[in-house]
Amino acid sequence: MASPTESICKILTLLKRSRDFQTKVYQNQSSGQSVSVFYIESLVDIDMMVKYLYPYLIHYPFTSLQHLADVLPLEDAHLSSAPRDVQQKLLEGYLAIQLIEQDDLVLLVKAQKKIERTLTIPEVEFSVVGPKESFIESLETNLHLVRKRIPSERLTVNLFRVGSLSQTKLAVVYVDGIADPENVQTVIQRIQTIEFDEVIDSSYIVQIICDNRHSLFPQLLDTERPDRVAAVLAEGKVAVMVDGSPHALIGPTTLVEFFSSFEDYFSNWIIASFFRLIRLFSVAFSILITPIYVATLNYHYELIPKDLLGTLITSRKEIPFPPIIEVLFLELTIELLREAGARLPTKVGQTIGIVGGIVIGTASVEAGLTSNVLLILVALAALASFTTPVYKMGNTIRLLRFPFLLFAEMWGLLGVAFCFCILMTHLLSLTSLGRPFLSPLFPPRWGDWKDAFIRLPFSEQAKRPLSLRPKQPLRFNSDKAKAKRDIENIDE
Amino acid sequence: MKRTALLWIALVAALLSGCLRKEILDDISIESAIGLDDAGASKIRGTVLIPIYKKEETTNKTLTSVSISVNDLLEELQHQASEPLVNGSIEILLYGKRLAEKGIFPFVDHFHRDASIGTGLYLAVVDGTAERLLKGHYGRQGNAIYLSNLLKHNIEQRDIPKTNLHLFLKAYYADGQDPFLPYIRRAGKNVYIQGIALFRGDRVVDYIQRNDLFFFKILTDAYTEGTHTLRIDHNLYISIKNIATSRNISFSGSQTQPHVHIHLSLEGVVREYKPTPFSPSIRPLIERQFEKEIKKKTSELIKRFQQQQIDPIGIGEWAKSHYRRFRYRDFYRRYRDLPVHVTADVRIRDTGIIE
Amino acid sequence: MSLITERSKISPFMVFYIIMSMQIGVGVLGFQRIIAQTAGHDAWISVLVAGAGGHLILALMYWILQKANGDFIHLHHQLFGRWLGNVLLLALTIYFASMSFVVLRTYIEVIQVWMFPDLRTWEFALAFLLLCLYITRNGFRVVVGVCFFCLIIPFYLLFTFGSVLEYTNFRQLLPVLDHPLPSILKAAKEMTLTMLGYETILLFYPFLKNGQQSSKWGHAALLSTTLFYTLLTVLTLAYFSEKQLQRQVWATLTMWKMVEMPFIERFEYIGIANWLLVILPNVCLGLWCSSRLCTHIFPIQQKYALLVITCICFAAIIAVQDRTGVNTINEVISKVGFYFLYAWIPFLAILTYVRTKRRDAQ
Repeated sequence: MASPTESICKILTLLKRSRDFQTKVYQNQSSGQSVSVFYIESLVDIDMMVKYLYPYLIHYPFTSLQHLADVLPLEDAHLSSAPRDVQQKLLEGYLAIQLIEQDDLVLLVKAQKKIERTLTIPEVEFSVVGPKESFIESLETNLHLVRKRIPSERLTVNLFRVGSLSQTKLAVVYVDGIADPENVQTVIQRIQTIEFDEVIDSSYIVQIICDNRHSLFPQLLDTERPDRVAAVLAEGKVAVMVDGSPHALIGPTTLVEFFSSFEDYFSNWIIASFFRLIRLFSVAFSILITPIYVATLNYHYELIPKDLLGTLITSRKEIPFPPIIEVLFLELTIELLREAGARLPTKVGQTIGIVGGIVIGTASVEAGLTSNVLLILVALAALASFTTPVYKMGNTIRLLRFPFLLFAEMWGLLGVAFCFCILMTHLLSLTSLGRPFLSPLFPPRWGDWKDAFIRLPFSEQAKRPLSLRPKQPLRFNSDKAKAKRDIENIDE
Repeated sequence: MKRTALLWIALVAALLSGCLRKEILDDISIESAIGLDDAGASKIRGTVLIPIYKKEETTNKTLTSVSISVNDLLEELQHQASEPLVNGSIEILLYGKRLAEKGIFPFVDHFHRDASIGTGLYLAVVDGTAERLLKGHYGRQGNAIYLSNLLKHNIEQRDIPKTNLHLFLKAYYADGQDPFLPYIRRAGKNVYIQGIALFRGDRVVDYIQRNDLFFFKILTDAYTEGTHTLRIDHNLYISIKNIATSRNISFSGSQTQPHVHIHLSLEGVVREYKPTPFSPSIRPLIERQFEKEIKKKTSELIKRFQQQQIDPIGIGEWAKSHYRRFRYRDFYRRYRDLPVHVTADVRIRDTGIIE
Repeated sequence: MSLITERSKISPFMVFYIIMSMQIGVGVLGFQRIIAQTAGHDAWISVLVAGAGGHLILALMYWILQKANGDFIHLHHQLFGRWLGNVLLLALTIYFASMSFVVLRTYIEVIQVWMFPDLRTWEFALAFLLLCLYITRNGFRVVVGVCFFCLIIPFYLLFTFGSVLEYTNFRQLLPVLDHPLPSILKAAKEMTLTMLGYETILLFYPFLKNGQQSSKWGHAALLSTTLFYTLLTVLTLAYFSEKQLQRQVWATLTMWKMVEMPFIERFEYIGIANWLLVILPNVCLGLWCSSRLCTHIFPIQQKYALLVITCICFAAIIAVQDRTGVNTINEVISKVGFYFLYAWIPFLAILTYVRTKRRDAQ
């Protein structure tokens, strides 16, 4: 083992290879002592250095580094002799101050340059009503946004560093006393065993710590809404926030949760329930409609009502392709439009979508490549898939229809049922942080249905979801909550 | 994980290797009606109706062939069709009068056996030949839809009793009931319902004419909504609508000496009364008159059934659920002389919006 | 006995779904003809009688399980010794495996007759068994999940029978008890194959939290199934005339032919496709039970046992070519099932009773 002095020296020499690593030597005018300051220019807030540090370094008659640390009016200034610490802090934007050259003791002063965008409105999970803040790329700000909403001593934040190169800061947030410790342990244990070099975003974490990596389904919910995070923390879930990512992860999650928009909580329960049911219906519709079209047209003409038969036959008469090719052609066109729209700047993207959709759709019907009935179905299916509030789930749903199409082509409706069975089994075997993914459907917890397919009024939501095994199952005293009176009646 | 993936790949590969025979909607000729006629020498002449769908109007195409069995016939017709003929969407089966009088069961059974054919389709006996009827051109939606709609609305709202393939077979197989089918004919550019063809077993033995249909329907089925015009005397007519009927058949006496009581009750609304205005005072009179008419006409019909030794009402089935250890054979041995007593109860509810 | 962790155990009320989904199988599509052959329009009484018998046997099973501390397999070893016990268990293994096989083969037969005459037996059987393998390899919890969903999702099919009501005539059920008691009992015996399935409790009992508490759910399931079958029988008897019913191999499917909706002209195709979900738990649980027995007879892991049994089932399915073969096997399994339930279980109960008495005396 090299001695600490050598190590600090070594680190400094290593760092000196970068051009933006600066070494400045100053002469204190009171004591005449020479002070060396090391920092990485690109990480350090020079303004702050000039304003607050230089006056002290040059004019203040300090005797030791400790003395200097005590008087500096800066957020963080501490002494360190551990080479690892020094290296890490320098790379985070600290200044290292050395009194005597080659000394093994340095003073580390925090002078990070803070460049972050301001809070914006949520774009992916936009809501018409409700809070309009969304997470940004800074972990501290994000934590602030959450903590502001849960000003409780029980809100616990565990900090980790992941990524051998990126050293990304990562916070595991939960409410102590509500969240099931087993869930918290699962998250922490999985995070601690992450082996990866460069963790850029929370979606990296999802892919590394999820239960089944080969599944199409996202097994942790990601959200950009601090209000949503606060709400699910209060339910007893665990959130993971990653520095540099404007998305927090929430687990354990369930399939149903992916179809509940957070806006549901801002509207009346009947309306919210209605929209949830619409969304679930549209998911089923989106996945199944084109496979059913293929199955019916290929094998089960008997199923078609006699009044519809004429419509379908006339629309398909000129089409030279079998239904499966026709469907694949249109489905892929829609996917192309979506992908092209997503890759282009917003305004161009929209134009491409509209122009492409109309032009290609109309032209292909007129050219006799696709039938207009199918065009309507595919467009509706695409529309329905966009009702999914969580973006990643929407992608999954769009992909899911292709295996269904394959089976429908092979075995007709029987194939659709078969593929459904495969999907069902897969969903049954999925877990999120070790908890069943299909809960509260299976294992059936009827009590949790109050906030699954429908959302009952808040007065009925006194119990936290049972499937999360919260330590404190009651949210509030529901007896008290129900006592409501009109003003006139109070006097009685 | 790798092993399971391999398994799935093997599965998909295995499945893709063998596809099922497809019946793609626009690559098949969908039969919508079949008409069968007697062609002499125990042969049948079959006419298949294929609708040609176009944007504005559906036109009809017919193919005809002669063969010994339905199966053979349909195979024969394939030679004439540019696209494979499929029979999963047949709306109506027609039997020519001559064939129907010889027995139609072999030609119904074929369709009953075919899993792709529904049981809700209509059967009808044609006055003349089914071929001629199918070769006409009625309506804009094609002949089959025209014919099935014709029967459908007459069953739901007018005086044809409920009938379809299932009910025909149900009556055919039942020991205590005989089937009946609508009896239609082509007249120029139109088709109209002429009456009901009554079967003994699978042979038509008698026809009920149009003016007896009302009484036949209240005997065999129930009205939910319907109209009937009653002629009280020479030029006094009353038209009754929204008729709802129910019937009850009860028995008295031992199984060996049964007496049959048929009770018919009817409720209706007066719609038209000619030539004098309707007044509440004549309501009981009309009610009695109507009851008398029902009694008379239905008794006549039942007599006729007994003479013909047929039982389209299903008195035998009613008797079976009345008597324990019932024996059909004994019942029908005495059927011709069975005392049947009809009672009717007519109630005219109100007179519509005009008094 | 391999240890079953608390986490992999399931709640007692899941027994309701398991038993019910197991009892409702491919038999529903065509059991009416068989029981109406002997009991005529009183067939629905036979269904009730068969249900009552089922309750009796189920109660007996729970009693045996209680005495055997929930371990049915170990009980055989205790009562008959290692060697003879293993032989008996092997017979049971074959019984459960052949139940899966019969269900699947009959279903394929239905598809071939009603939907795809040119569907190759091996092709569908292979795919289906692979799916079953996928389900069972994921453990008992997933099997139970499949049972649950495969009971809940096809539930809506019950409402479709509402539209055949227009063509029913309930007077046909009169007079009640027009047939002699022996023929009603005989029909009840014929009903056993359709009602089979609750005997799986003997094997999955150790996977239940509070096994004995589940008995009320078990009985509730049996009752629901009985009521369901009774309802269906009553509807069928009212829909067909007696001789007409004798000609319907799959009466339920023929009834569906009449169901018509604004967007679906013919319902039986939807019904058959949906029935895939209904028979899935039958096959899976059968395979699971027999593989579980295997692990206790031979030194073999459950997943390998599953693989072997599935392969044997697959071979058997290919071997049976025509409908007569299917019918023969159905009859054999029906007989075996009947004697297993109504002879073997009471016999075991007597043995257990004698043994506990003797132990108490000592």
